[in-house]
Formats: sequence, C-alpha cells, structure tokens
Amino acid sequence: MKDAEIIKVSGKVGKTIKKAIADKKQRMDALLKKDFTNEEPVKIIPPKGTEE
Amino acid sequence: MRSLLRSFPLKELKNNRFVFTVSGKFEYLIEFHLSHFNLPSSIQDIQLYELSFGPKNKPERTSSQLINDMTRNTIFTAIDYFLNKSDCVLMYICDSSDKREQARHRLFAENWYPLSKENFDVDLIIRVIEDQDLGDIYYSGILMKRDFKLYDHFLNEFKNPEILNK
Repeated sequence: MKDAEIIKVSGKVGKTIKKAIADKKQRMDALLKKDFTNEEPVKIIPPKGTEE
Repeated sequence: MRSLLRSFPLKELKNNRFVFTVSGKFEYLIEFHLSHFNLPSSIQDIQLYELSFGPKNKPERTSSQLINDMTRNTIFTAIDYFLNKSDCVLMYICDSSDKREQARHRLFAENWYPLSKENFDVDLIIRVIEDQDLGDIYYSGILMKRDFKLYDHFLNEFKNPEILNK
C-alpha cells in the first residue's frame, strides 16, 4: 500500500463526485427496502473461525 | 484473537449482491455494481466496480464487539471473494455526508488491507480527493489484484481527476 495521493478537484468534477455518492446512497437505501429472503442463493460461503 | 477472524455465513445472490444475517431479522446487504465514472478510452475495457453495503433492520441497542468484528469480517470476505472471482478493479469513495468518512476509510486501510494481503496478492491505492470549490474531502481507494493485467496503466490514468467526471 503506497502513501495516499491527494487529488485536487474543482467545478464539475467535484459536483459529479458529490452526486455519485448521493446516488449510490439512494440506490442502497432502495435495495435495503427489498426483501431478499426468498431469493435462491447462487452460493453460500461458509463462516470463518467456527472451528475450535 | 479468534473474534478478529470470525465471520457469519454469507449468501451470494444474483447481480453481485451478498447478504448475511447478524441476528434475527438484522441483516447486512453488500452490492458490487459497475461504476458510472467515465473511464478514458485507453482503459475502457476495465471493469470498474464500486461497493456499497448497509444494515437492514438494525436493532437500536449497541452490538457487542464480537458482533461488530464478525460483521466487518463478513464484509471483508465478500470483498475478497468478489475480487478473486472477477477480473475487475474495485473502487470505493467514502460517504462524507455524516462526517464519518475517515472511520469508513480506516475500515479498508487499517482493517481490510492488512488481513487480505496475507491471503492474496492485492493492493490498496488510496486517493484523497479535495474539492477546492465546495470544501469537501473524499477518501477513496482502489482495490486491485497485483497481477491485474492493466495494473500500471490503470494507476497512471487514475491520477487524472477527469476520470472522476461523467
């Protein structure tokens, strides 16, 4: 892992990032209202660390 | 120490979604979706994904440290699984609307990366994006396997802030 690089943005790019984050939050909020209980899983990944 | 590695059973659903139950109806949903950021033509073949996750029916009372650790580890399991099964680059940009962006970022930089690099050859490239007009600061990261064929090319292009335009 390299040190963090700082990218300075302004104008349209900044607004685009802000909107992208807001859109993503809205998308997740909508997904969380859906019920996935009856959806058939593609795969079940077993838990880790249960062996004693 | 064992709780540092314990996780919940994880269900992979369709459309790159994953769900796991913490307790009762309390669940977490994780989704990997194709990014809408506009990649330059030279790297348009790269599948750039973004990651979102959130709790459903989270109880009011505070969870124990064990539950928090297991929840975090299960999210990490989904990330590692997705990165390993897909030939893609994964990006996150931490939400800063509630001023918890640094905590979210630390989840990747201080928790996910040290654990995952022990399991497979992966890199985390951190970018802090400063919006000079609005004063916002965004913590972002690129999660990419080191053997990804366009590793250097992608990093080089990602220095250009225009990549974050649409």
